[in-house]
Amino acid sequence: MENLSELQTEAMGELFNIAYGLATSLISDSIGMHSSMYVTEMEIIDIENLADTIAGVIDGDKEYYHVSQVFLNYLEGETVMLMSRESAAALTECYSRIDDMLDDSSEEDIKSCTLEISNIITSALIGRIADLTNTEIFFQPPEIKPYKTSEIHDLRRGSEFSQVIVIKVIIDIDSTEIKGHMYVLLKEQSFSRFKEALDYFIEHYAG
Amino acid sequence: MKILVVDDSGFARRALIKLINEQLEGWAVIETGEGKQAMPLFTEHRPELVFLDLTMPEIRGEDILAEIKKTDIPSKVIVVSADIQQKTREIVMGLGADYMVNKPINAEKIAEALTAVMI
Repeated sequence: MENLSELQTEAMGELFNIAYGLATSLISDSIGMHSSMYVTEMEIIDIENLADTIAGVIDGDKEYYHVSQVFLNYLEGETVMLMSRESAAALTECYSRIDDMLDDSSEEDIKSCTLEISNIITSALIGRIADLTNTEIFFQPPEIKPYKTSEIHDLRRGSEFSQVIVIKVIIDIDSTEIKGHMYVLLKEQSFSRFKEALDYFIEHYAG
Repeated sequence: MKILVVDDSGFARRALIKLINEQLEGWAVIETGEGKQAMPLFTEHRPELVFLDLTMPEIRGEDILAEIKKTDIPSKVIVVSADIQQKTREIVMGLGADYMVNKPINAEKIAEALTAVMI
């Protein structure tokens, strides 16, 4: 994995495991059902390779939602979550079991539930890093729109970002598998700070 | 006296084993990062204590726990997981776990767990 030592890579896996444990609990609380979350793949790539990486996981026959959320302060960057409409509708169906006003065929309701889940995951993940480093990270409200390849290319052209943490996650709610692809885009200095946070975690957790 | 540690994260295993070694002198620690190796190691070594992660690729910790409890080996099982849901705790305890510790672990949590299972 680029720019991380083997120990830092292992620590990142464990750190995200803990963060997703928190996210799972928050999702279960919000949905009123027991859920599980599995990280099936994780890697760090250069921003230049983001569009190709996404192209490799997108099924051309499906529609996807693109949820983005900017975070600022000690770490600066943006999370991007891609979720197929199929998974987003399944998620909405789960939420509708506790909120009978929700309609899993309504575009607005699907967007609302997808935003909610992305916000929970981003907050747990980035918030955990902030906790570790005893710093504060501010979040801008998340935005959702239909996925367009051109906008991923724009992220690269914006060129503020250097590295991307790629995380494939499966959320299992009542045997319904909801798949999402999360990308954490970090600016150069923030990536250095992220490595410092990992070193802190290693020192205090593994000794 | 033997302890089996099952966790797919090498980082988490090392942290746990370091804490175990600080608190239990003279115990032999057997470890694996592959959930599928857990039962063969368990039946081979017949450990007095097992530390078991839940979320692992290929096989869930819950399935390993159920298998362990089906045997006649009287091991204590401490589940170590980042999953903090009460429902998960209920499921795990229902399967026969002797204690559950939430990650991230530290010396106090491990000491409490060892005391709880009377090791």
